[in-house]
Amino acid sequence: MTIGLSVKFDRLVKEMDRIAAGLDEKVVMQIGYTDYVPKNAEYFSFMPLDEIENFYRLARVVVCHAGIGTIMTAMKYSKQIVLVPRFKRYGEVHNDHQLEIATEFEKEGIAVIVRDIRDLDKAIRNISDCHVNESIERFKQGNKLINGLKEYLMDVESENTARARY
Amino acid sequence: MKVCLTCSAGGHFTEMLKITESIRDHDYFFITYYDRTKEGLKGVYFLGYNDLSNDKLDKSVKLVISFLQIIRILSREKPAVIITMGGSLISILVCFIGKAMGSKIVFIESLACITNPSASGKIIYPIADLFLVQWEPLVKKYGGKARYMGKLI
Repeated sequence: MTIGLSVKFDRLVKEMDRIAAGLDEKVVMQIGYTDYVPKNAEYFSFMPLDEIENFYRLARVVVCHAGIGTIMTAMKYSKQIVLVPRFKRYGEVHNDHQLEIATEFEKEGIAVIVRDIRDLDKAIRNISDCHVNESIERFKQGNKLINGLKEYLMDVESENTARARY
Repeated sequence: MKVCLTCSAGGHFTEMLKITESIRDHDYFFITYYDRTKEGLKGVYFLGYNDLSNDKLDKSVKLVISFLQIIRILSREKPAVIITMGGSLISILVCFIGKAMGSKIVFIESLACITNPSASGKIIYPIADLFLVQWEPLVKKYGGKARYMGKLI
């Protein structure tokens, strides 16, 4: 479970800690600036990127806020994803863009959204047992952005070399 | 060829790391803010003042210091292309200073922007040489220059 680099997220950390007591799987939480101290799971505040990615690699499910960085890292490892968007009404974020992001990823079949924190337990238990999220794999195959960017850089480079020659 | 990547910390930076896949054949470096997850990363220039830092320095003083820092970095590195995701004042500064110094500007709208253009996107759009969005409906919101080529996943 991870809440990213931004402000505290007591609502998610508390509920995940409660659920952890009843799960037969290991739960590791990144809790950032959250005040609540988990009792039933291993936790830490922050960690360098490469070390934190190890936890993603080993996880069956990634439970996280709907921050784009977190979603992308979970997608990098094609994990099953449960998104708990931060809400403005709880003072967790300045607008409800996380819900908007989460909804788009849910439409693509990439993640499951938990809109009411009481549904988190059920979402974690019901998510696919498969270690590879097939929707993410399909999504990755249709991606042309990286190649498009590569081609653009090649064009600029040959343009620059041509200019240097004349 | 030298490429500069610039953005704020957090999610934008994760997207930026993804971009490094497409620039492996080039020499590249980052300009961003410091946070503790970035300790030990190579090829990263940290601007002296963090957006979130609570020190007593006046905002305009910080801005001038950052401005000078960026000019120093860009004149030393002379990147042919600057790639940015926006997300903060520094990316805007780097793009405008870089454009004036002859770099090509590539803007990639964050995956977090689905239906509405970002503030930095709107500011950088006029000077961008390549302008990409990651959700198709955004192309129309920006105009002729914006293109959709997929997502940074």
